[in-house]
Amino acid sequence: MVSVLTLLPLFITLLVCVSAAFFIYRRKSLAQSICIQQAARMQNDLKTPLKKLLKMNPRATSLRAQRTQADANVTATEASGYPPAIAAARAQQTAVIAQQTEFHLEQLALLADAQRIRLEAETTLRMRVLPLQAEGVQSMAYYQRPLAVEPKPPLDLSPNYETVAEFTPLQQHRFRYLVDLISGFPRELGLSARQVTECAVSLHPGEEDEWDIEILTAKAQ
Amino acid sequence: MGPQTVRPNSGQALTEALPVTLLLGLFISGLLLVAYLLFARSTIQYQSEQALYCAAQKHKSKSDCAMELKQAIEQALPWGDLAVDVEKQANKWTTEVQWTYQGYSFNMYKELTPKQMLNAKALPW
Repeated sequence: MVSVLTLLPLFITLLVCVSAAFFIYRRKSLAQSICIQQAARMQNDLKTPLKKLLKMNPRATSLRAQRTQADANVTATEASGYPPAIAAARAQQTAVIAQQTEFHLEQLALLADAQRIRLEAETTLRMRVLPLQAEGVQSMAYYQRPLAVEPKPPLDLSPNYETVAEFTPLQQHRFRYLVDLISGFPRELGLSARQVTECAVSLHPGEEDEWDIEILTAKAQ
Repeated sequence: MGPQTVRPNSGQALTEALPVTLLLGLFISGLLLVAYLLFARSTIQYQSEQALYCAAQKHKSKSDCAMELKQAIEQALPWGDLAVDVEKQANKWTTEVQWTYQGYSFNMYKELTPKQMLNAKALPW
C-alpha cells in the first residue's frame, strides 16, 4: 500500500499531462471549427445577394437597350425640329432614366446587404471566440466590393454585375486570431501558449447556377 | 549464555522485494500504457479533423492529405501501427484512421459535409 502511495506523484503527473494534452487539442480544435463555421455561414448567406444580383443582369441589359433607343429617338426628333415629338421623346428618355436609377439602387442595395452580412458575421465570430479569450481578431476581405463582382459597363446607370475573373480567391473572407491554449491553467504558473487560428472560406461556381462553399485555408499553428 | 546464532538472511530482502517490484513495474507500465492510449486517441481525433479540412480544400489531393495525416500522427505517436484513408467527393470528405498498439486498436472515422459545417451545433464536429 505504501509502495503504491509513493507512486501517487507519478500517477498525478500522468493524469495532469494527459488532461492537458486533451484540453489543448480540444481548444485548438474548437477555435478552428468556430473559425471555419462562421466563415462558411457568411459565404452561405452571401449566396443570396450574389444570386439576386446576377439574376438582375437580363433586366439591366434590357434597360440599357431601352436607354440607347430613347437617346436615339431624342437625337432624331431634335433633328426633325418638331416640338411635340421632341417633348415625347424626352419624356420617354426621362422615364427610362428613372427606371435605370431605381434599378441601380436595387443593385446597390444588394451590395449593401452583402456588406452587412460580412460585418454581422465578423461580429458574431468575435462574440463566439470571446470564451476562448481570443485576441487580435482580424477579419479580411479581398475585394473592394462585398461581392467579387464588377459592373459592366463600369460607368453605366444600369450595369450588369458580373463575377470577376479570379472570383474564388477574391470572394473569400479570412479570419485570423490568437488563442491562448492554456488560458484555463493557474496564472501563477506564468504559462502561455498562443496559437494562431486562421481560416479562409469562399464560394465557387457549382452545378446549375449554384454556388458551393470552398475552404481555402484552415490553419492552427 | 550460549553462543548466539546469526541466521544468514542475505538475499532475503531481495527475494521479498522482487514480487513487489514486479507488481510496481506492472502497475507503472499499465499507467503509462493507459496514458499513451488516451494521448493517442486525442491526437488521432485532432489530426483527423485537420485531414478533413485538408480534403475540403480543392487544390489539395487526397493522397497529399493522407500523407500529411500519416506524418502528423507518426510524429506524435512513435509507437504503434497506422493505416489512414482520406476520401474526397464533391460535397463530402471523410477520413479513417486505424491505429494499433500492443493489441489495442483504435478505429476513427470522421466525415464532414458543407451542411454539417454550416449547421453543426456541437463543435468541434
